[in-house]
Amino acid sequence: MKGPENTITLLELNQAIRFEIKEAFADSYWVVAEISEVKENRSGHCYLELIEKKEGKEYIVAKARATVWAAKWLHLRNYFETTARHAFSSGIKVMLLVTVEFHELYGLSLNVLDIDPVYTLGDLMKQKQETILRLKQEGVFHMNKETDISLIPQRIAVISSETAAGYGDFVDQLCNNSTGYKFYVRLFPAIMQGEDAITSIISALESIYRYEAFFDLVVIIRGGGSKTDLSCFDSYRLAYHVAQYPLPVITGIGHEQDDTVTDMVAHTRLKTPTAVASFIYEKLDAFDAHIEQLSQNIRVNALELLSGQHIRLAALLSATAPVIRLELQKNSNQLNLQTGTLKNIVSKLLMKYHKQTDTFISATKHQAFVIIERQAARNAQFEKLLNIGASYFIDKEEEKIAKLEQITGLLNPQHVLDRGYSITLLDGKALTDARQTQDGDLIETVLKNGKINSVIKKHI
Amino acid sequence: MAKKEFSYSASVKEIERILEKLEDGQLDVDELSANVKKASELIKLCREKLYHTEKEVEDILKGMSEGQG
Repeated sequence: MKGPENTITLLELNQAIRFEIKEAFADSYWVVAEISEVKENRSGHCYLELIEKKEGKEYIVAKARATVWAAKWLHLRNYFETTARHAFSSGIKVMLLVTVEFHELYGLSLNVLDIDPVYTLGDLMKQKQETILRLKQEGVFHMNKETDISLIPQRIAVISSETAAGYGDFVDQLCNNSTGYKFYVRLFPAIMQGEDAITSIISALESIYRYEAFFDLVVIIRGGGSKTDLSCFDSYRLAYHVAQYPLPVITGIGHEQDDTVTDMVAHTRLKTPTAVASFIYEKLDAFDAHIEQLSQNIRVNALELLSGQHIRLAALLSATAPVIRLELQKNSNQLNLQTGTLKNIVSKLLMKYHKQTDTFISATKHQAFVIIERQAARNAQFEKLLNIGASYFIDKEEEKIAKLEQITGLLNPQHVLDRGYSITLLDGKALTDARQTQDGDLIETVLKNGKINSVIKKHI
Repeated sequence: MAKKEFSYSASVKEIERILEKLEDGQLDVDELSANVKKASELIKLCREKLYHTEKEVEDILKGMSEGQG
């Protein structure tokens, strides 16, 4: 061990280290690591931070900086992104061909010469499979597929980028359809690529959720554009949200390759935004056709039923008419028969009664005459008797009257007067009592011939 | 939030039901008129919804906020 008298400067130390490393690590090495940072500076060089995490854990066990010089960087990145179909970005695992550099000032650094995208591809694939497995194990993988797409999806929430050509095409195809079907489309904008896409799309889904009862389905679309960076759609977080979403989700994120995990969990996966528009349009068209078919069928059946009824009625009519006619005829005949018989009976009866009546009448007449005659004879006799009796009675009465006359004549006051008697009247009344008079009264005396007026002097 | 009160699927089911009764000969002439009329109305309603804009729906749509996070 060297003591303080053997100190060296830092520079000397680093130079020594540099020398040793160069010797010991003269080769290039294929290294696997995770990119935790990617930075491109103005000069076009790319500076990376590479890390290694403990297997299955989140903590870091190794770290190193790496550099990709400008000349290499462009080519390397293109190559990588085309083959791996993923952005050269933090979070991915890569296999890099590096040389080891140690600089007295900058310390350890790896210089990237090459990359094997297939490794990354494999790794991504592995991660994808793991995500799928996890979603299946959690029981959410099929949930969105179990939601019902309305018969007529007219109300559509779209997650897309406003500027994306895909969105424009989608709206145009749907809302300007030639048939005239009506759609109600609302955009919920989101970032559709890169790391930020995951959070952005989830946020859009949450916005739409407030109107869950209004919309029929959610559509996630973006234009074909960059063939890379669909990686956000393999994200567990995003796929989880889509799988659990209460409305059916249709994806049309414009790529030809394998389905992303989000595609897999979505209700329906289509290739492009226009394909999604067609899909939706078709639903309405099918419904329209179905309605038309039903309408036709109803019409046909109804007409059939009606004409069937007409035929039935006509048949019934023709079947029953002769029967009715026959019955009527029968009854009519019977009636005639009965009428004839009745007439006969009635006439006979009438004749009988007429005879009876005639006999009765003549008998009555005869009887009447007899009685009348008898009565007449009686009457005559009675008359005779009456006359005789009447005459006798009258004679008798006449005798009586004559006698009475005689008597009356004898009693006549004149006869009395003739014999020398007189009547004395006071005030016109015959006087019989002297006491009824007073001295001085005026009295009248009636003689046979003439009258005398006198005044009483004195009565005795 | 107002969900569509008019249900397409319920209407279609009803129309199909009427058609079935018609085809099976379960309808007599008296019921025919009422049923065909009902079916016609439902069909008309469905077509209306398919082809014509509903102002209320448009208004709800317009009133929505995008709420970006």
